[in-house]
Amino acid sequence: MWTDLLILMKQEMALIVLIFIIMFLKLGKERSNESYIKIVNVLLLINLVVGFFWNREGMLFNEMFRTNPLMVLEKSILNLAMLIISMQSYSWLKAHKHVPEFYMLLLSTMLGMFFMISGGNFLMFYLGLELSTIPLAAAANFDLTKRRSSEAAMKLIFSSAFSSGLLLFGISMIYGTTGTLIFSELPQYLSNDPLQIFAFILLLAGFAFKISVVPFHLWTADVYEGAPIAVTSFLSVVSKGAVIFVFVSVLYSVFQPIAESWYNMLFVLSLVTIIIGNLFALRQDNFKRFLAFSSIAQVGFILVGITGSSDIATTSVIYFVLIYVFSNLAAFGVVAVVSSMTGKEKISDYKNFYQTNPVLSWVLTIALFSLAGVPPTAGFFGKFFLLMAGAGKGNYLLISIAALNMVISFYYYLRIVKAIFMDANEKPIAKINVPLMPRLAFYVCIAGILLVGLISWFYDHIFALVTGS
Amino acid sequence: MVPVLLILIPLLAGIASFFTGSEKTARFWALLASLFTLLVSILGLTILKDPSYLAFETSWLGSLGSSFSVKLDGMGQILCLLTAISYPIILLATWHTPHKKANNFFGLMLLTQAGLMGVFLAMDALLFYFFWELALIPVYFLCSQWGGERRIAVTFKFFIYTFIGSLLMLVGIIYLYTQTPGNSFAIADFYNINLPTSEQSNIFWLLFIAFAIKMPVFPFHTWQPDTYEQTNYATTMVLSGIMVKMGVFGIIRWLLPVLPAASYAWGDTVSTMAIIGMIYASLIAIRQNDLKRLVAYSSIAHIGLMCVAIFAETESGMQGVMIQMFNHGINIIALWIVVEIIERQFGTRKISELGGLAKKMPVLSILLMIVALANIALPLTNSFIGEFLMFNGIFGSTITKYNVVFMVCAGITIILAAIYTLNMIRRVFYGETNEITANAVDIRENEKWILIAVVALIFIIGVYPQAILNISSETVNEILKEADITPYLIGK
Repeated sequence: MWTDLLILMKQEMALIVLIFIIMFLKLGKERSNESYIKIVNVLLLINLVVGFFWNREGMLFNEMFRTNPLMVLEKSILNLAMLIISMQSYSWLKAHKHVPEFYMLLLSTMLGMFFMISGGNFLMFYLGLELSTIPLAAAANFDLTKRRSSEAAMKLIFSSAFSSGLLLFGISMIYGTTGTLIFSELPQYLSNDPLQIFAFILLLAGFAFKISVVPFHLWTADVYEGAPIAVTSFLSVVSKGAVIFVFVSVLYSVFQPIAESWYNMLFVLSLVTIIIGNLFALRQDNFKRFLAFSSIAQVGFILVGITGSSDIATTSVIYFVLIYVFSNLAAFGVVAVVSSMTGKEKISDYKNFYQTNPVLSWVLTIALFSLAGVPPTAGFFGKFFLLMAGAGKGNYLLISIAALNMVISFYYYLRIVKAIFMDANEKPIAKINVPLMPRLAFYVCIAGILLVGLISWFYDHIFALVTGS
Repeated sequence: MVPVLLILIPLLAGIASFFTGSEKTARFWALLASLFTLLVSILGLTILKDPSYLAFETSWLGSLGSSFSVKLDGMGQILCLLTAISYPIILLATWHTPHKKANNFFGLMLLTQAGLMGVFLAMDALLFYFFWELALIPVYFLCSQWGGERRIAVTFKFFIYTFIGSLLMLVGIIYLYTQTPGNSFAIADFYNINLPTSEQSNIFWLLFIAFAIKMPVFPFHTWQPDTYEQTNYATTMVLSGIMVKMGVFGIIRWLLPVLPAASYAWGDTVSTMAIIGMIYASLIAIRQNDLKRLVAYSSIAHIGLMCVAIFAETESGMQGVMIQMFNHGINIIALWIVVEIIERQFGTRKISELGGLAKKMPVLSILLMIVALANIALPLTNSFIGEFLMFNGIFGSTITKYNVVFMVCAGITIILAAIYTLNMIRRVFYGETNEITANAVDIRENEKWILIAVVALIFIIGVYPQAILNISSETVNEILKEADITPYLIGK
């Protein structure tokens, strides 16, 4: 029992230990921010490494908690994202008063996500979701002196509470019509019963809020803009990634009996999401708002992949999230460094950025190309696999519209590249000395963007885990 | 190993070039790399002809049925040779043109070459698409960072155009992939797909638009004159000499054999579009005052003829396209070299502002005359044999009812080509000198020797075209066999 507990829940255990270590560090003698950040980063690295050993399949607490190598991999992806974010926000955190609290909040959020991913029961899932939401709202308020930051936290907590309400309502109806909340037992009780469909719609709305699918996306831009960049990147990568992982597994396993119904819903949602996300991204000048809308469009693409409902679809979605971690975090990282050094967050500030900061410019350019889905970056493969997965259902209208939307997204990503390299500017952003930590993070991201796509092992490995062979 | 080297040498050399220091080093490095590539390409044609050297395959995304499969077949040999030969010519001809951030410029040029080679070598649809897009990225930076004043807006147009095409093609490829038995991207499996004609037609247009934008075929050509006008010369040479061949190549390898029934059904439509484009472009070329735009429009006319000849689906026509792809690349690069010399000396490309160059620049005039005559396909020059074969193929086509109409209409453009080319020569090189051209001096040594080398190539191929026709004949027959529509006609 105890060895089971330790091995199956190793990643959760590691996180809990980490949180406690940070707490004790805080209680101990005064320390400089730098030493905190360094210690925590080393611990996060250890935490990430833990995910690669002793992987087993198993269940605990009457199926409340289940795990398998695929889930471990999903959690490792999130761990990696957390590590990169922590390294990138080095310069911002260094000047902050409450470093340990920041880490404790984000790590608690991660813990909630892990339980959510591993949940084998809607109760566990809900518990994990809540644990991952409330600390995040506090973290969004972490630019303590800025009003916008508080506003963002307020908006986040309200919209989260609302979506949690929808989710709970849906879950209760599911329980009412089936008498169980255990994932493995649910499919046999589900049919195209109108009440169950209604319950599913409520659940879907709850999920859609979390991953900001149109029309549940209205909070996204404001929260992204107001929150500190570290939290924004966490929101856009880790928190979205986690919910997408859960969404895929719940859709494909629990709601398989009503697949036809949700296929149509997702079809409409994905198209609307891509188109609206793209159209709004076209007009943004604030870099964070821009990334918010572009990430909405990216989620639309993920939905296209999810409609495929096959092993290839699962693989492509997980693969895409992995790539999205690298590409989006590279972009956010540059914005974070520039913002913390100069306070500039507008796209128009980046005009002629190349002249003063060639390395950062290339990092940002490669990241944007990857987000746009241009070879040889990994983003191309990610989008390609998503489209292929979506094509599995034979719906070429969806695929064609999605593909044409890639042109629109290409346009606005290219607009930034153009600003960086070609637009004239008397006073470009001054030369920035990037500290070691963020620089390392950039290297990791760029290596990820360039290698994960070209080396097919990553995709094949995820595919093998998904099919269980 | 040859195909892998053809991709790897420019790729690695291109990456390394970003780290070279001075302009001179970067230039030498690029020249060295491109000469090395040329050497490998020639070795592949001569000593290493054994099939085991010319193909390479290794697993890549096995779970999706894709592999890293590259092979040099006849058509690949010709186009890779063109790519390999063009680069030293381009680099030497623009040897004295200064480039700011030269190491980046030459790095991007070499990366483009790697992408182009990949397109011509790929035997896997996913790999083909990958290289197809890959070749674009360095070109984006080349077009937008070096060139005329309006380059940024023009590059945007060019890119949005090609990107729309590529993504439509991507949808088409994914559709075809799902139709292969056992889901695979291999070209052999694509050739074995047997779809009903109506389905083929949809996919046909998805793929054709991508290729048509690249070539460009009327009415997808509007990006081209602007782009050629605004980019700098070395890039223009790559774009017009090699990159347009991606479209022609794509149709021959990935469209005709994969979707034979649709190619048959829509062949006349496509040929009509191409012929409208040819006449239209030739008429505009007659009225052009800008040398760069003149060459650009004349290129549209030449490519249009290739398109008609492909859809005639005869051996002669197809052989003509093969040899003409090579010739067109060489000739148009030579034309650009001349235009660059003129613009650099006089600071203008306007035909109306020039005149009387023949007196001041005798060497250039003679060389240009030969290149221009090759451009209008005079006998003894390389284009003559290509155009002759293509016209012969169009005339002898059994696949279309309108072969005579097509041939006559396309034939008109030969006359039009003579009009605009000779008219240009008359106005630029003969007549009286004016204050702009009064102090002209003849061309530099490097330019002279490069042009002489090109002229020599023009004559060699013109006199002995069999060398190239032998390389491609096997591929042509294979493709025509795959594109055979008899099974579909019997079904009806």
